[in-house]
Formats: sequence, C-alpha cells, structure tokens
Amino acid sequence: MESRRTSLIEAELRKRVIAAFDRPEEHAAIDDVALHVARGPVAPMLTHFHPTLYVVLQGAKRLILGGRQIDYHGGQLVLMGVDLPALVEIIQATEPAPYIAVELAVDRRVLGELVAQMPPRPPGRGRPVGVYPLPASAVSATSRLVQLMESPTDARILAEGVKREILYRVLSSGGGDGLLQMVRAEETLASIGQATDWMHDHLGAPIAVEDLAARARMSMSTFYRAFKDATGTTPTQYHKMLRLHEARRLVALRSRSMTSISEAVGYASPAQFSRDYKRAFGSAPIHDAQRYGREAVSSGESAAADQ
Amino acid sequence: MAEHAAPDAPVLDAATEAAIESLANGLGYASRSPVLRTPAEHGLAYEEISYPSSDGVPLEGWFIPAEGSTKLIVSMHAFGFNRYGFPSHVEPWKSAFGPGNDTEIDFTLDYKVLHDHGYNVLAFDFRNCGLSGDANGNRMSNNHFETRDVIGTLDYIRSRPDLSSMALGIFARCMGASVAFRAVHSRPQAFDDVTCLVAPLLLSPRVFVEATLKGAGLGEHIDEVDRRFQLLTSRPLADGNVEEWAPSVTMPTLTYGVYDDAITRPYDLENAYAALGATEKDMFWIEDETVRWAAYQYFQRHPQRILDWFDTYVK
Repeated sequence: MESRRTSLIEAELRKRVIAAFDRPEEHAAIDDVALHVARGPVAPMLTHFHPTLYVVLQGAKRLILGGRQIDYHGGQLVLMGVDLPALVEIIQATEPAPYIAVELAVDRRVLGELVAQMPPRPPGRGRPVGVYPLPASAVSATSRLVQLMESPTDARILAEGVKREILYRVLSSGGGDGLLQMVRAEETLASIGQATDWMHDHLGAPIAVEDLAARARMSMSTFYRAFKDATGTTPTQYHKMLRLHEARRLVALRSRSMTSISEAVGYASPAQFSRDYKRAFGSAPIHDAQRYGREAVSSGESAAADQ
Repeated sequence: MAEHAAPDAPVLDAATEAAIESLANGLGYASRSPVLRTPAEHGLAYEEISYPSSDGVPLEGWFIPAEGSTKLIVSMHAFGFNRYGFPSHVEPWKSAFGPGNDTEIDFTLDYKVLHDHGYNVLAFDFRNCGLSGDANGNRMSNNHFETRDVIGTLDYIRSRPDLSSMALGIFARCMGASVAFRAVHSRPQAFDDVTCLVAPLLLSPRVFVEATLKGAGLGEHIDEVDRRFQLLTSRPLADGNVEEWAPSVTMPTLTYGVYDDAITRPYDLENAYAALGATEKDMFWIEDETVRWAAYQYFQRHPQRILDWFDTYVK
C-alpha cells in the first residue's frame, strides 16, 4: 500500500516537473533548485560538481569520473560532492518517457543546523559520488517543492522550509552518511583549495606535489589523505583529469592540431596523449574531432575553426 | 641492545628495540625463499639457465621459449622473492609481510600468460635470492649490488645467438622495479635496446620504513632504524629513493600499485611516476584492495592492460 502511494506521488511529481520545465519562468522560481528533462539520449558532456543532491525520477544517466563509470536511474538519489571534473551522459530517455530529475544545491549552513539537532552518528566512509535508493519521504517533499513553483508567493514564503525538509529526509535515510561525508569533504577541500587552484591554472606544467603539500602546510602523507578524502582521487590523477578535460574542450573547439592540444595540456608525447584520452573518454581524440566536425556541419555552424 | 649501536644510541624498551632491530636487519640483509614451482606445472617447456652477474656472482634462472616469437620479456622479482614468486602460504614467509600478504604468489602463472600471448620469458633469481649465489655478505644496500645482476642478464641475452636479436621488454616488480630504475640510472647505455618497462610497486625504503613504523605505533623511531640500516649497509635509506633515479628512465614505462597498501604511501609511487624521464608513461592504482599482494597477482588476473603495453612497444 505504502509503495503504491509512493509510486503515485512519484508519477505526480514527474508530471509536475515536466509541466514546470516547459514553463521556464516557473522552473527558475526557486533559488538553488533546477529541473532536468531530456526527451532523448544526450552525448557525454563535461561538468563540474558542487555539493548537489539529485532526485532522479525517470530515465538513466551515466557519469564517468576518474576512469570509473557510475550509472543511476529513476528511483535513485544521487549525491555529488566537490568540484570534480566529470563527464555525464543521458543514456535512457525517450519522448514518451523522458529523463527527469530535480537538482537541489546543498546549503551547508542548513545542513549544519540539522546535524546539530539530530542524534550524533559515527563518521561513515562516503564517496565523492554516492547513489542511494530514493527515500519516499524525500519524494513527497520534492513534490511539494516543485508544486511551489506554480506560485511565486508560495515559493518565496515556503520554499526554504521544504528544501530544509528534503535535506533532513535525506540525512535520516541511507544516504545520510554520504551527505555528511560530502560536506566534510568540501571542508577538507577548502584547506587544499590552493592546490586545486594551482592545478587549474597550470594544466600544461608538471605537477610538484611536494610544493603543493607545503603550500597547504601539510606533510605529504597528510596532504594525500586529505586530497583523496575530498576528491576521491590523488593529486596526480586529479591533475591528469583536469588536463584531459581541457583537452576535450579544445578538441571540441577544433581550433588546434592534435599535437598542439597535446602540448597545451602538458603531454610531450602525442601517442601517450591519445591513449590517455581514449581511456578517459572512450574514443580517440581524432575521432572526437571528426565527430564534432560532422555535428558542427550538420547543425549549420561555420567550419571556420578548421581554417 | 645492538652490539654495533653507537654510544649515543637511544635507550629503548625491549619490545621497541626488537621491532626496530628486526626492521633494520630485514631491510639490510637479503633473505632467501625456496623455488617451489617450475613452469612445467603449467605445461610450459623451459630451460634451466645459469650465467654470471656483471661482477661474477652466479645467477640462476629459467628461459621459457615461445615458438616462433622474436619478443622477450625479462622478469625481475620482488624483495625476498625469487623467479617462481614467494611461498607466503608457508611459514616463515607467511608472516613476513604482514596481515593479508599471506597467500602464495606464483609468478609462473604470469609466465604462462606471457608465453601464450607470444612472448619468450626469461626469469632469474637476484643474488642472495632463490638459488643464485651468495654475495656482499648478504647485504642489500638499497639495490646497489643487484643492478649488476640486471646488467649481467642483459649481457647474457646479448651473448646468446638465439636471443640477441629479440625485441626486449622488462617486467619488474617492487625491488625488481627499483633495481631496474637504479640500473638504468647508473648504466643507461646498457638499456639502449630495451623497448619498455612494466614496473609496478616501486617503493622507496625510507617510505616503507616510515609506513611500517607508523602502523606499529613506532613512528618516532624512523631515524634510529635509518641509523642502524646505515651501520649494516654503509648507506642511509634515502640512498634508495626511487624518485632520484626515475629521470634517467626514458623508455616507455607503465607502473601501478595498491592505493591502500599499508606498507607504503601513495605519494612515493606517484612521485616516482612524475619524475620519470619517459615521455610515454602510464600508471594506475588498484583500488578496493588493501594488500600489496593484490598487485603481485594483478597481471595473472587482469593481464590486458599490461599486455597492451608490451604489444605496443616490444617490437
């Protein structure tokens, strides 16, 4: 009976999300909330995460993060952590059954207040991306949140309370550890933020982890542990991911030769670059360049970048 | 108290004294383990070979031919291991490397994979290991002496008409990988015809000691272990830092390790990787495993990435 009621609420929520999505003035009505509807598969796109909670209602997405592939689908709750470069691809979506999700940015201040009022819990081991069963209580609250979009006055007065309720429901569910860990990871990342900033600014340079650890005023061991806790990966691998994502951006722009792109992101060997790129994204850079070229031509864009 | 300890050596309780003396001795002296299997157990024909290291120490090994192949992989083993692997299912070797590292390591399974993929294999015992000769008072000294065994092996290959023209790759684990790096650093010209390396589990001795002591709650005694190691081997632990030799390694190199390996720290392998002189290099971590042994068994369980590396370069 309970599950039937939940599926009815989910069905209602799906309808509400689609209706609100098709009226852009509505789905922009509440800060920190975004609606996602896709009526067909979408090719892999680059993304960077900030602490975010996704209520996935229908369809499926694939996330490629540091060589790992994480699939999630309708009926799941996804928690995405710190500023991580990743690829996302909608792998299951059709016109009659689109991909539907509601995204809620996690407000650390509200989360902190809730945690302080809840019974203490031992720290769990979270991951930068966690996928959990969608708690029924969170579906119900999310449905009410989307309903508020129909009335700006309702949204202005009630939305903060409902967002707070969603966070509380998730904290109380199996995803609670993941949510706590995500926020702790972000705090840790703040302490090593100089290191990630340096990496963003020096994509073509070799990484000197000893210097980065010194800047963070940490020993190498502590720095590695903090970095892994925050990002789920090592400084070297994080830097490599950033470089490859920048390379993919440059490949998509089609403004440079492969050798030049490979050099721009710090590879001395184009063959090595091609191999790493293929391992990260599943296709060789030259194939992506050809594919982007075809897409650009078919969508009527200028091919000036090739000239 | 160690007899050789200098007058200013700290006074330690008996348990601490035993632990740090054991660690210094364990690193300072080579230890032998038996060669419990042969390639014949997997239906592989092989030849028992013996040849001198570059300083004359007799080395023992196997040559496993792959019919019609002109490609050769030289396998180099880890600390305390031998060409067969390591009998860590049997005491005292079962207790040698800590909890979890206590199942048999059988490298002959790796040789079977390489052979069936079209590679000849040469595997040998380093000095003071397996059935090779004694030397240097059994002292290890940060792989300084073992580099001569690599040079001797390459000389042996070049001296055999049937092997001398083969395309050559090296698969060296842990100590073998460190020895390979140090050998390239000290005699780069000897590696001119080596097409590539697969060098997992690179490990600097000082990082190993730091991690091991910390795990035992004895982290503050690192300098004392280092001092005793130096009294045994004449050199400090830092003399074995892999990162120092890595810039000389310019052939394509693939490395990997176990991220949560309790006897090292991830930065050691990553620093060595970052310092590599090779423009074509790759590394990966084995995650969701906590024991070093997982990396020794990785190739026989998941050979593709490593075979791809050899297939790309051993030509």
